[in-house]
Amino acid sequence: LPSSVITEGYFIIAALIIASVLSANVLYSTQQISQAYVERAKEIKNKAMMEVVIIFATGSNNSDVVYAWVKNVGKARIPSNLIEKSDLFFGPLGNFERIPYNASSPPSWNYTIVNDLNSNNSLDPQETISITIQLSYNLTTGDYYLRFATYSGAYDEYEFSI
Amino acid sequence: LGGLSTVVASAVIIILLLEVIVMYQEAFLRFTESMEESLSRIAETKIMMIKESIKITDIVIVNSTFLYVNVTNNGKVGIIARDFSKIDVILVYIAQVNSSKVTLWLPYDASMAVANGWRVKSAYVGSTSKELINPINLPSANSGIWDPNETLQLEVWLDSNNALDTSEGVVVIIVALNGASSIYQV
Repeated sequence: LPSSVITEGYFIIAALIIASVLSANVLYSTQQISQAYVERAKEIKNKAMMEVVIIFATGSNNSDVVYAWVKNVGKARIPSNLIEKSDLFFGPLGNFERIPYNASSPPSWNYTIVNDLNSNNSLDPQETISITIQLSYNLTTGDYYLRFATYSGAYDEYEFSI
Repeated sequence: LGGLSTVVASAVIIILLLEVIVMYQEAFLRFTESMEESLSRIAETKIMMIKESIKITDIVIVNSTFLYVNVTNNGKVGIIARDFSKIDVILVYIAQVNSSKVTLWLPYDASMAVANGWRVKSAYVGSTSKELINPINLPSANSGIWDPNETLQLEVWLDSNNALDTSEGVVVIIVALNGASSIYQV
């Protein structure tokens, strides 16, 4: 065999190896990017389908408890483990604080699903939760602010006076 | 064999490029499909919210544990009777027992088996006429639709521990399925 043919053979093998390594890397990266797109789309979709409204909130003078009712008016179900991941802010207007869920000492908030129609322990669309906020102080006359945000960021705000 | 390596390498790179383009296109398509679905869901929810509207027109306190509430569907969409349990009814009043302010979320119960609750007593259009379209089967409300312009008379009951002070009045808040609400005080 002429030496040029052998050299060409080596080049072909080298080209195939380089192309294989390159294609594997590029395909892997493309797949990762594609997956990221899909995940982002899922996130946006989930957020778009989530909507809650605080339908009522109240407290009494000299009481350290606030009651609120939050309705799921979106299209997505919120399982109980994700309801617990919601953020709740409460306090005098302009001076509110984040209230932790189910803390061992006040302030703390807890909830019950008041109309869990299919008993699946999730906040389904059009169902309502009753929230009890235990404060570390007594309410006095004034304006109060409440904000409830789901794990996906959908939120509603409510103000009331005592 | 002259130049064959160049041809092979070029072919591999072209195939690779095509595969990458296809993968990107697929991801882009899935992304836009998902976005389209999200937007249509948002629109659907918002349309329902805009079309849904209710108004409490009257409250009659019969006694400290019983009242009637009239509420009219003045929206553009009907509410299926089977979904009445998804309607929120909240009562705010002064307790007879200790004069403290009480706020109660009341469950829907067509059989009146719960201690505190509400159900639909009657449904009508205008001031007297009965509803002719999609009549609600009362008191069970297991069929029918609360159509636009129809008024429901709700029965609201409390147990004696939760009796209200009739001299202090009462506030009723009703929230429909998609968040439309009405508040009324007597």
